[in-house]
Amino acid sequence: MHEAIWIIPLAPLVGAYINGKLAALYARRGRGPSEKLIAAIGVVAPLVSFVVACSVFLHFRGLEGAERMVIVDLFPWIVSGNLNIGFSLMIDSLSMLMVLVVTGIGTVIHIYSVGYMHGDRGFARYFAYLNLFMFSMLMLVMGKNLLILFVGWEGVGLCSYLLIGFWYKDLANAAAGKKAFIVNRIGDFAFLIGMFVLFVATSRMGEGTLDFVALRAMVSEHPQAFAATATAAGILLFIGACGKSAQIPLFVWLPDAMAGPTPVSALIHAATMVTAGVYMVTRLSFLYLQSDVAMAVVATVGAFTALFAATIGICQRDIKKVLAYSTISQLGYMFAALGVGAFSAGIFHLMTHAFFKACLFLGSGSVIHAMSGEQDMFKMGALGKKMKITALTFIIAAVAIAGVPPLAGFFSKDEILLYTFTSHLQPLGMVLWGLLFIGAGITAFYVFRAVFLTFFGERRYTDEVAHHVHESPLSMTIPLILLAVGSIFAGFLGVPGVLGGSNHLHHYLEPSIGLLAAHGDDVSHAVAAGHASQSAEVTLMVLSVLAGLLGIFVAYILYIRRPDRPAQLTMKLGRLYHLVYNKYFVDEAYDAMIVKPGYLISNRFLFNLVDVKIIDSIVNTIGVGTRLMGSLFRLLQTGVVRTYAFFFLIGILYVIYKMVG
Amino acid sequence: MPLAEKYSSLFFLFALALAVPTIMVFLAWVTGPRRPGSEKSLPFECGVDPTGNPRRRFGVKFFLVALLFLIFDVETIFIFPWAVLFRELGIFGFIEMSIFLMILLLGLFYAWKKGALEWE
Amino acid sequence: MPAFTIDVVYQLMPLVVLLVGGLGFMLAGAMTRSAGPLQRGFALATLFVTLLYVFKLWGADAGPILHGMLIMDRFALFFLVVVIICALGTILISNGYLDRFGLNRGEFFSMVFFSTMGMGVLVSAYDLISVFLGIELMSLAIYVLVAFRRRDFFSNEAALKYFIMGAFAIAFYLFGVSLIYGLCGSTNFEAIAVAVSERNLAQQPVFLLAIGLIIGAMGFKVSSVPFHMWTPDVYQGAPTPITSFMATAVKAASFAAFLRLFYTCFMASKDQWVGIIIVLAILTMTIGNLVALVQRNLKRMLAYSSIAHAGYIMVGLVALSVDDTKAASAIMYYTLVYAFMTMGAFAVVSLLERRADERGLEGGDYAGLGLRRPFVGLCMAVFMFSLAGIPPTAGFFGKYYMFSAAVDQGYVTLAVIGVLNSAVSLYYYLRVVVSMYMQKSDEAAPTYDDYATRFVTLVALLAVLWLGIGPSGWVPGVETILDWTRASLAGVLELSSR
Repeated sequence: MHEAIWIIPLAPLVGAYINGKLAALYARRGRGPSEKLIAAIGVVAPLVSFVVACSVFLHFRGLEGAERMVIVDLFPWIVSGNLNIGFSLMIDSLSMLMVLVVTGIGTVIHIYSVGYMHGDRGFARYFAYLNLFMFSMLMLVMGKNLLILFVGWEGVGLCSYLLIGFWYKDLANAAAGKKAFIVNRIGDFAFLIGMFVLFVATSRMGEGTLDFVALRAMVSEHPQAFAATATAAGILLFIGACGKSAQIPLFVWLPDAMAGPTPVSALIHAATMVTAGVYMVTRLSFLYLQSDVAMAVVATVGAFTALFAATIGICQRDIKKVLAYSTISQLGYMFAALGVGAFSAGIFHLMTHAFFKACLFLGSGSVIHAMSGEQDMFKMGALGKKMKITALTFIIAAVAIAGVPPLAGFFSKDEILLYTFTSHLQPLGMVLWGLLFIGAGITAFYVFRAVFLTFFGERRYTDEVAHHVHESPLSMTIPLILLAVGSIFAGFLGVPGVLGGSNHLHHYLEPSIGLLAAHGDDVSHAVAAGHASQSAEVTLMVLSVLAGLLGIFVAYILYIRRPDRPAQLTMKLGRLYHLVYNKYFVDEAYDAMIVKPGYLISNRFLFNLVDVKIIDSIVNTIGVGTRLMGSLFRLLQTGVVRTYAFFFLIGILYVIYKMVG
Repeated sequence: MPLAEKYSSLFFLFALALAVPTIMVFLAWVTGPRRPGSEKSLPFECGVDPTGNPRRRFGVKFFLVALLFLIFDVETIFIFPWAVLFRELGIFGFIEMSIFLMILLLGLFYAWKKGALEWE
Repeated sequence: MPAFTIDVVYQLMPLVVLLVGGLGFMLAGAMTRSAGPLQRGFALATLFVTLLYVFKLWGADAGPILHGMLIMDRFALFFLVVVIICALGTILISNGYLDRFGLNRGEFFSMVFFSTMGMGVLVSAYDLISVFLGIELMSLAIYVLVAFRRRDFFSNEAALKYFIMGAFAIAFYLFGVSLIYGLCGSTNFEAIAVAVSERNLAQQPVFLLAIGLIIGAMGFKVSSVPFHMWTPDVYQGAPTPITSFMATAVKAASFAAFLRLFYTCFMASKDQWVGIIIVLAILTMTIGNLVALVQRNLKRMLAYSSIAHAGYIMVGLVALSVDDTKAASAIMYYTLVYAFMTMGAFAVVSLLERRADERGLEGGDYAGLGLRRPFVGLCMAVFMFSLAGIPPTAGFFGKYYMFSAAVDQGYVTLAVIGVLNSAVSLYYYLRVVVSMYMQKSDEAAPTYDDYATRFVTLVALLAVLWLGIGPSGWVPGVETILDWTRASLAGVLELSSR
């Protein structure tokens, strides 16, 4: 039964196929089957995956540690020389958690989409893309080797592109899709090279492989031999992760990606796809652990991104942009955790983040839906009274992300801060902790800024808009409630020891992380990285809670008590505000440094000089010369049998001469 | 002299082949009466005019008959050694030869049906 | 020892079925005025029965039969399958063609069957005499088929040229065989191999002379330069289904005999003949491709293309080695792939060919075909890509295996010349694609529609794609086919090393 895990990715694929056909039908005839049918297919597909995933999960519950592993070899895929890659799926503890998050939250967001996309002309197309995304994402987390992971990786990238540009008639949306795709290409290029490095390295060691199980066994066998490989491959693969998970310097596509429908932002650009990089690094934790350099790079990039994106979040006016920068920032937290060796903390945060960020996005979608498409928070206000469920769930999620106990975000973020502080990479760990600590305060501030601007204070929209404002339908509010409940309780999976918990999740993930237990002398040592005394741990915890509360308090002062202050502050800070408001001009800098010079070189030098003047003329000369030779040889073909016999004879005489003479 | 010994019978055959026609022509020349005429002076060519334009067309009928003749000529060449060794080859030889003859008969039937045997 | 046992008859069944089919259609030709759908169906059914017998024999790996005249090993059966596939394709392509050109006679099928049987003998030949018999049986039927458009001047001219040149070439073959018989005292492959090693004949001038003569004659059959000159005229004059048959089946069968003969008997003299094959391969590739560049008639262009492809396959002959069957299995794979792509291309050509004004074959007639007939256009484009060797089509992988085998054996320059030639060939193959998709035609040339021909293009399309990248499942993929070739060659080598 549990060998049937291939149903998990297959069900959404079938859904995507059927809905794709229906969408094509619709495009051709101008009319198609009812939305109900499309929605039923679209929602049932991930639901089937979720149910199967749950059954596997129940099966896992009775098993210990490394036994929690299902491998299905479907067929040999690429066999060439010593490259032997099977099309195999695998579920272990780590994949299991990811599959549950993807299918669970995915199903909820599919249901939400039924209400959100109601009446859209591309209804079937939307669900086809969304199901295809589910398929790709599940391939990504269930692939047994790096290449299948990469196929899923590219697949989710494609779906992301298709969905960002879903309303492609607006050129800005299409451009945003293209930007996401191209920026990701840069990362993917590094990812590919990383794979090659890994393959070459393993080939030198014996059998070249990209299989996770084999790789892990190999690295566990000779950890020292992989030090250099781990640095090179680790950093290259991490550059790929920077693209997909929107880290410095490749984060620029994610804010633009908000052009897609809001449920897409929730599912793809917050809860699942962007966490692929985190998953990939955790999957290869055994490799990363062999290189302090690679780990330090991951941690540093993560922590800087966390603070950097959080500061941009302060000044955004668009509610979805705030959440986008928040996502970048939270992903930074996850990478910081991975970088200091706290893999399970990173995955823990990935999971809690999936709940509260999806909830925030869907809540913002609900608001935008009610405001007839308005996304500027300064044109909202006082919506709390009219949209009680949306407001309540949004606030719950906001409290969760702000790190207020006992909601989900508190436990996961606190664990990250703790492990960063006690990291064995000192003094880097302290510095990173500082960055993350400030970031935590800012996070609380900007998210509550959004809460206050949207749901409280004065009404800042016109009467015409007010006329339409209403609570969203059940298909949208029920998912909100489900996710809010998740945001409250998901944290209890990882209550730290100091608070009387036993950190279930940490133990659950242990068999998937680090070197194989049989080889490494102490696995948990490598993962836990460092230990702090109980009192220090509690101190850190209190500090981070205080930072969060302070952020909320400042937001309250600025946007509820003294709503005139922000404008004054803006005036006072002038330049600094300008800088942050324009996202540090990163987009403009990239444009000036890379895009424009690249275009100039391509156009002036490569195209007009090298291609047109040099290459074309060489090619043309060769072409003309070759044709001329052809014409000459053609003259021999006289059509007279005597000539043919003559040449035959010459040929045979030549052959005889060469043979005998 | 092994070579001469080995091929002595061959030499004998050569000599015989040379001698017999020489003697016959010589005897004919000696004994026969000579009364030459215009028709008689022609080289023997089956009654066909020996001179004329070499590009002259032959009736395609000749070729057909010649081809059929050739086929059955070859058939005889195969049948003769089979007849000699009939007992040794036994029933297998018989079946093999029957197949061979059957194929040829089918060919003959085809040619007949297509009118290759009709002169006019 | 009786030559005929039930087992031997069983092994001969593919040939027997073909023979009976040939005789049956000869009678049908005598009795009926034209061949209706029933006869065509029967022709296809007969070929399928043959195929069935071939499949039943696969894996048996029987030794030589009929006193060492023939051998029905996997090698022979592999090529027999290729040849039968070509025959099937020819009959399907001819379905509409024969009606349009008024050639609808039972003899057509009869001759296809006899010729296929000849190829069967040729690929399973284990004796120089049976090679000769196979060549003659195959060729005589082909001569007739080439002349099948009896009222057409070019068809007659082509047949006569082919016949004269064929007789000329086979004389050299027989001369070579007589020399070998004189040296070895036998015409049996095994006996020759034994005699060569026992009497140390490998460097003997007379033996080398015989090999040279045989290279010339075989070079004629596979249309290698300079023995190729009949090819364009004959391919152009013959009815298109027959051109397809010649380009695919005749070539495959001839290469099969070439390969087995050289692999079993002449490997000891490789140092002597390899230089010649290198020169012939380079000449064949280069002249074939260069002259194809300036052809306007598509059939003639494909004729030169087939010459060029013979050159590519000869690169494989150069790389033949007893220790490594890579080159030989590349040749086998290539003939299969080449059969599919060429058959497909000729099927499309036959759809455009017109009788009334003898047109439909010029490049201009293909203008806009991709838009007028999307499916046919797509197929033609894929065949052209495959012939040019562009991935992911099978044509690319065929060339890749061939050239990499050559590189493995150290013939890097030869492989480079081959790759350069492929680049040249791009020009004339893609010209067809360009005119199909990027040119507009003022007067839309009519195209015929025939479901059987379209079926051939479909199957060829799938095969060209599947043989390139298809994984091995219940439809054999690349790996399976390469495995088959390796198994076949192991049998050939084992037998010759006995």
